[in-house]
Amino acid sequence: MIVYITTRYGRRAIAESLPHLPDALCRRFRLTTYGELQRRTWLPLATYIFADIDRMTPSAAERAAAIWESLASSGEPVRLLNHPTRSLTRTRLLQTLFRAGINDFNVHRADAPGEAIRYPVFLHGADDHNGARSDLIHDAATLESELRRVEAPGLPRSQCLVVEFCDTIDPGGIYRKYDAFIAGDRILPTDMYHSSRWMLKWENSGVFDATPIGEEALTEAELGYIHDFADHDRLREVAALARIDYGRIDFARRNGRIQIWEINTNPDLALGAMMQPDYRRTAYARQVLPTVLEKVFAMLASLDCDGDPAIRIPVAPR
Amino acid sequence: MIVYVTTRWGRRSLVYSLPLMPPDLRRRFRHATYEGLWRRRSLPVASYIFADIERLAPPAVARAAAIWETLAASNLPVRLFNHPARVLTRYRLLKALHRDGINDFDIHRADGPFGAIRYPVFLRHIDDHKGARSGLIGDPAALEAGLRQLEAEGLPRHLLLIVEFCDTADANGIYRKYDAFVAGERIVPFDIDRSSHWMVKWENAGRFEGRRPDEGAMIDESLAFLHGFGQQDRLRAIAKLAGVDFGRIDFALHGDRIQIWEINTNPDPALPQLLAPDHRAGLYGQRVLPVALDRLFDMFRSLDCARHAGIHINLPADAAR
Repeated sequence: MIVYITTRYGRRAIAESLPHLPDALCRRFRLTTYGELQRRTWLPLATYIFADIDRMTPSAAERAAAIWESLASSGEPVRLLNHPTRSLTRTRLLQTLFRAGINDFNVHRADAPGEAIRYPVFLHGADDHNGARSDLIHDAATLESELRRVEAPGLPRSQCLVVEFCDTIDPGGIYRKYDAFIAGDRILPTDMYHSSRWMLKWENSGVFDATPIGEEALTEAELGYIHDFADHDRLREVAALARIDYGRIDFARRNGRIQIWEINTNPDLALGAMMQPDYRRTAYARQVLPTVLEKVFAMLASLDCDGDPAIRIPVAPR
Repeated sequence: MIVYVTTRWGRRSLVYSLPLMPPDLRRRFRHATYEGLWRRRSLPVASYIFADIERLAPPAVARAAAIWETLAASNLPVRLFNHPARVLTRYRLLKALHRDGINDFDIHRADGPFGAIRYPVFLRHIDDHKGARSGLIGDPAALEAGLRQLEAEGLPRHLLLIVEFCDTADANGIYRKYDAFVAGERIVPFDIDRSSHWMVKWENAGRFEGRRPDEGAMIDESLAFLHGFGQQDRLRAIAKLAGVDFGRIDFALHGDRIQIWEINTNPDPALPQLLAPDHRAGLYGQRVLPVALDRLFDMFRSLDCARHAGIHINLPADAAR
């Protein structure tokens, strides 16, 4: 049994994909929220994925950590993936990667004044996956006015990051974003996106301002990524630094060097979208997707533990 | 109608006290959780107190702010307290108060980077109201040891603040924590807790090592605070700086300089404890409590807005969903 835990807000990312998993795999999963977990006095012997840790408040993370500790110290062969307070969330992760010389760019808390900022920068929610909240900002005065602008719609400085722009454009004017799953020791390249836009999201993937790249060429590049990716060890090193055992690493390359954008501990498998008829007709869906899905399903299955779920482990929520 | 909105975790503060409020006041209140708001397609014209801001998860801040903005743009006579994205939570507030020369002490994130720290310090959680998580710490080595100990207990550095200790004891070694409510433009002094311990909380208030202060003098002091506290303008300015329209300011006096400990946007009126028979029977219960409660209830009434039965404000589908 694999117990997958999210915040209430993050439940959809996994819930919408579960029905599209093979039946045998789907049956292994139990979804729950951190709130529900707090009401439990015992939990079954299982694999626990502490997902969606970016979205937890500090107090909720502390309570979840108490449950993690109860399970870890039970003496039962539970598998615990991601620690609610020790796994690094975005700010600490990106600062750590910069200090470690892995990323060429740093990030700054918007509420922590006085740090040297290398412009241009853009604003990003410290804890969300909504992409950039501003255009590129080139000076301190504009940064201040942009911070004020994003406050009213709900991004206070305490939840805002100032991200130094790292230009990963290729000579043809194309940005690329790569995805790879982490599952324990496994690193699984799954997808890549191409766009003329520097903030590359699912929504603008395949948007080209000049000459579009043909579908066949894109598919060939994606197949190349999935089959020939050679930087598993580097990503494993990043995951170890982040203390993240389950999630999806989003990254790019700059002069051949990997630059990490984030590790999403509650990645949307997006199986619902991938099963849409329009999507299934694309060259990617025909030529790449079957291989990717097969590997993703095997990866998810590998997370399960062998213990008897009938065994009850007492837990002591804080 | 006053709609008081909290997280699920924070609802206890008001809900336990509500049944003990005067009936006319009780009838004005509606409690809602933020999660309940997300499900609403419209909201009535009312006063909305966006309480418990520190406990809001990041996605909830954006959703709550969207509702706030929708209500504000309705041009109907709603009253709105505490913009969810503009209220300064603990770190930003205490940083701003030190920067502006209001607080004599600074705070630092425990996961750094931090500049010069003035010792002694103590550790506290970044967003809870449980007080200090350490004793007083005198030097960097002890700070590191304290951080490591809390880390081992499950509290990593990014959840902790380093707070420079500000000694507000009087000549007899008594510490005082003053509480005053903010309600719009109103500042309502409410209570003084006293203790020999520097971290004055409800749990250790009234505990003194050595000679207990004269009770009559404490009563007089409390009444003077309720009737004649002279720094209300200062507290009003601090509440504005914090973006807080409703909450309780916890502070001390360092000489005559106000030192803010925190502003709690979901203050517990603690009526079950205040109105417990043994508490009411004491000198405080007889002489101070009735005045304090009168003012508290009056303050709550002042939050209400005129009735507009049946008028609702539609929430656009993307406001909170």
